[in-house]
Amino acid sequence: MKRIRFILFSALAILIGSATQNPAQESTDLQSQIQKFQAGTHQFMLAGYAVTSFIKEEGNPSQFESAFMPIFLFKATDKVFFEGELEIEIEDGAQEMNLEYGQILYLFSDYLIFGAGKFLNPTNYFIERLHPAWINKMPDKPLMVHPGTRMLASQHLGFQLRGAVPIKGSKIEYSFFVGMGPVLDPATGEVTFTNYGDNNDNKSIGGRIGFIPIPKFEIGYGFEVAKVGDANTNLESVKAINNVVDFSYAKEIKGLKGGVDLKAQLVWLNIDNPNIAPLIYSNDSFGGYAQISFRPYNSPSEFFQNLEFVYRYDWSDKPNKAPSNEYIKRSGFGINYWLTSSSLFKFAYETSNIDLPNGSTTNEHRFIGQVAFGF
Amino acid sequence: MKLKRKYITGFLLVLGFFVVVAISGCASTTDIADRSGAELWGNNCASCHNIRPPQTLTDAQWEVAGIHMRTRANLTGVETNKIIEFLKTAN
Ligand code: HEC
Repeated sequence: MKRIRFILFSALAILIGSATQNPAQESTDLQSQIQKFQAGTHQFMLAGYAVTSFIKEEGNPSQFESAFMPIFLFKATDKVFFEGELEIEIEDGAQEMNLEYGQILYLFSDYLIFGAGKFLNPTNYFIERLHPAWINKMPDKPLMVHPGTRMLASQHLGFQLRGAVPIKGSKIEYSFFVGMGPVLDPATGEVTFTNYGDNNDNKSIGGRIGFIPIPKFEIGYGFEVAKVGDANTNLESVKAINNVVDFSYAKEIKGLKGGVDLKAQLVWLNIDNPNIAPLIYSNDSFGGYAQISFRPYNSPSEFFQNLEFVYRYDWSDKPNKAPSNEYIKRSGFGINYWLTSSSLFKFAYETSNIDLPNGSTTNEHRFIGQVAFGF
Repeated sequence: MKLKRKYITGFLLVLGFFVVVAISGCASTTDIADRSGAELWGNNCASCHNIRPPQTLTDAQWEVAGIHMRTRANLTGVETNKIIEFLKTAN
């Protein structure tokens, strides 16, 4: 009984107390409390995304895949920053956790940033800037950056310098890096891009120059050079060279009550022919994608505002005489429904036409349904 | 890989380059240095993903996400600061 009376009295006292407090005073108190909370120079933010897909490939059992990618961002001062992303995924029958990137950044000046760690490959526009599932308008990656048909590294382990310089109304952006570079498999002639223990002293160097003549229009050229053979072998001096061209454009079209978005990336991978069996052929690969999408975001109907239509053509052409020789051409149609600015449903149907090493051709079809949420 | 296709692609690229130069020549845009935070936000923040509404993050979060985007999208320091200031007034 005593306890209840005490609680009642305390509640009354708090009520009276708060009623007599000046509201202005209260809000400045709150402000100063918030400021106290924000006063530290370290700022932390958790971002990232989650994605789940349903895949039905003709002739194969249907599958669910799911992944969660937390991104950790720390701002220590105006100049010192850290970004790190983990990739936790259930895919191809296994559960995995990888470091997607982890990079310390030093913002030297208005125009120059230095980065060190594992970072997304600056020459790979799709991977660096468009691959998260809430950004990528198709439910999967284009062939030339997808495991199995990859022709360009997704990440590098090393240092990079990057920035941008405005020139009147246009802008030039640049990035240069030094990393471990790919590793050559002497049996297949293929290179592996996930290199966590270098096989030689030669480091890969590369970079990208981008030109933005007008807002939302960008064209870029990237290159990478590295020796890929094992040290102290007769393949030591074999070089791999990547050339990359990317293109991006977005425009509102008033007559169509919406906006069109175009993206494209072409990748060439040329590996020296050492003329040492079994590597006795020109080892050149070529791949790329072009994508167009349209979203009627100014339509009077809310349903149509959230709809998006996508078409992507991508291809991967491996060296004619390599064991992996396949020429895949793929067409994909997608319809997306946006729930928020960073979450959506995707439905896509893809048809691949594949020229096999034995000279025959085959077709594959698949359906993917996906839901993605970026935060 | 066929050599012919390489040349066709090369030709298309060169053609593309001239189209870009022609478009940029015709466009009369204000200098980037003279653009406001709101304008820079509109120019830069909707080209890779949907624009993220200012209300979705707090001031402190925009200060962090802003620098993250500076490194992702290759913005200059001045552009980034103007955009962050704009987002902090608009959220
Ligand atoms: C070059 C492409 C690109 C441009 C331009 C771009 N973003 Fe992003 N944005 C991304 C990517 C990619 C991510 C996902 C994060 C990642 O993968 O590291 C992202 C994530 C975000 C997030 C989620 C939080 C975070 O930091 O991850 C916010 C908020 C955001 N962007 C806001 C902006 C704003 C504001 C601008 C304009 C200054 C902008 N973006 C311009 C590519 C871009």
